[in-house]
Amino acid sequence: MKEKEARKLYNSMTNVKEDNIEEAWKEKAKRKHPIWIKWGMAVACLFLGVIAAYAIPNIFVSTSENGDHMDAGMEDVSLDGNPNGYSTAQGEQPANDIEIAEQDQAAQKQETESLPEVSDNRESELSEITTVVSDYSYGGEACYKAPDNGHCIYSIPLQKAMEEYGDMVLYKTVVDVFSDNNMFESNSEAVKNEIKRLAEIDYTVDFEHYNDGTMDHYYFVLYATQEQLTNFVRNDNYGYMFWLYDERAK
Amino acid sequence: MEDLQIIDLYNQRDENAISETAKKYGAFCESIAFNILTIAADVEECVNDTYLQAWNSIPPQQPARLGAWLGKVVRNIAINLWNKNHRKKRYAGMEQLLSELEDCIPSPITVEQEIEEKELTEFLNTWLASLSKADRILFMRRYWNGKAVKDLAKEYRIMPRDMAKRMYRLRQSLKSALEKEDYSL
Repeated sequence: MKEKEARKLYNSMTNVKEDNIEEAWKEKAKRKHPIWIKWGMAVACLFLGVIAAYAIPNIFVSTSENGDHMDAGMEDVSLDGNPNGYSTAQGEQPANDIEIAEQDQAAQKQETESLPEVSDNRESELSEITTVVSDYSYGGEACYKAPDNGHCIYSIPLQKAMEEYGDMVLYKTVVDVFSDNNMFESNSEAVKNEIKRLAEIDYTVDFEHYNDGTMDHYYFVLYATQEQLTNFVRNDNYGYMFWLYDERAK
Repeated sequence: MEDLQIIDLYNQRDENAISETAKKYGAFCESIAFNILTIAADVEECVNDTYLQAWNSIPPQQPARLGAWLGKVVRNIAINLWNKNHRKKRYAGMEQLLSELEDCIPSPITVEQEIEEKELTEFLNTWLASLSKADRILFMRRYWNGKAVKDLAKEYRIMPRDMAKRMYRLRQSLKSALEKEDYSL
C-alpha cells in the first residue's frame, strides 16, 4: 500500500544537494583505516607470531610441571599495568595531524591521571598469572541484545575462551556499560565512575584513548579472571557487555 | 587524478576518461548500485551504463562535483533497472530500504496537498539541513547510499540494534516534518 509513496520518497532523494552526497561519501572515505594502520597491524601480527614461536614451548614447559594443559593460540604477554597498543602508532600520523595527535595525547594523559592506577599489590598479584588472553578465534558472527539493568552478557569468543582456559589466565576485556538498554559513551561520566568504583573494589581496570587520525576511540578495559567475570560485582542500575579486547578495540 | 583533469579528458574525447573515472569512482558507483540491486550482473550493467552516460553527457555538462554527479547518475540508472526488473527478480536491497521508508509516510488523515517529486527533493534538502551533521551523514549513507545497518553499526562501533533505533528516530523525524507541513506523498 505504502510502497508507491516510499518509492517516490526514495526517488526524490536522488537529486538532493550534492553537498549532502559528497559529505556522506567523504565521511565514508575518511573512516577507512589509513594504510599505515593496516601495515601496522600486519607487522604487529608478525611480531606476535615470532614472540609466540618462542613463548609457546616455554608455556608447555612451565605448565607441564603443574600437570595442566594449555593450547596454543593464546597471547603470552606480561602485564605492565597500563597497556596501550596504539601509543606508538600515533607518531606515524601525517604531519598536519601531529598537533592534533599531541593534543589528544595530552588529553589522554589528563584522563588517565584522573582515573585509578593499578595498585602495586594488585599488579604483583597479577604478575603471577602471566598469560593474558585478549583474542579467541571464532568463525561465526553474532548479534547480541543490549543487556538489561543488573545483567551481564559475555561475547561468544569470551565465553569460548573461558570454557577453554578457565581460571588459568587473565582475560583482557573491553566493557560496554548500558542503562535501560542504551549504551553509554565510553568516555561518559557514568562509565568513568564505574571504572573508579571497580578499582576501589580491587578490579584491575584501565581507560584507553586513542585517535586514529579521524576520530577518538575510548575503551573501558578490564583485566579479570574467569571467576571475577562470572561473579562480576555489578551495579544494578547498569547492564554490562563484555568483549575480548581484540574483538572491540581493533 | 583530480576531477578537473578527468573532466578535461572527457572534453578532449580521450577514452582514458572512462578508465580514470572507473579507477577513482568505480567502487563508489558499484556500492550504490549493489545496495539497490544486489545482483552482480545487474550492478555491472548499471555501472557501465553510468560511464556511457558520463561519456555522452560531458561535454556539454561540466559537473562541479564529479563524484556526486556520478552517484546521482548511477542511482537513477539502478532505480530504473529495479523498476524494470523487480517483478521478475527479487532485489533485496531496495525492497528493504523501501520497507523502512514506509515509516516516513505521513498519515493520510492530516494531509492536504500531494507533494511533487521535485518539491519533495527541496523539502528533503531543508530537512537534511536541519539535522546535525552526524545524523545527516547517517541518513544519507543509509537511504542514499544504501549502506547496511549492520555495516554502519560496525563502523561506528555500536550495536546494530542501537543503529537501527537511531535510524528509526530519523525516519520518525522525517515523518513528523512532512506532517507538520501537511504534505502527502
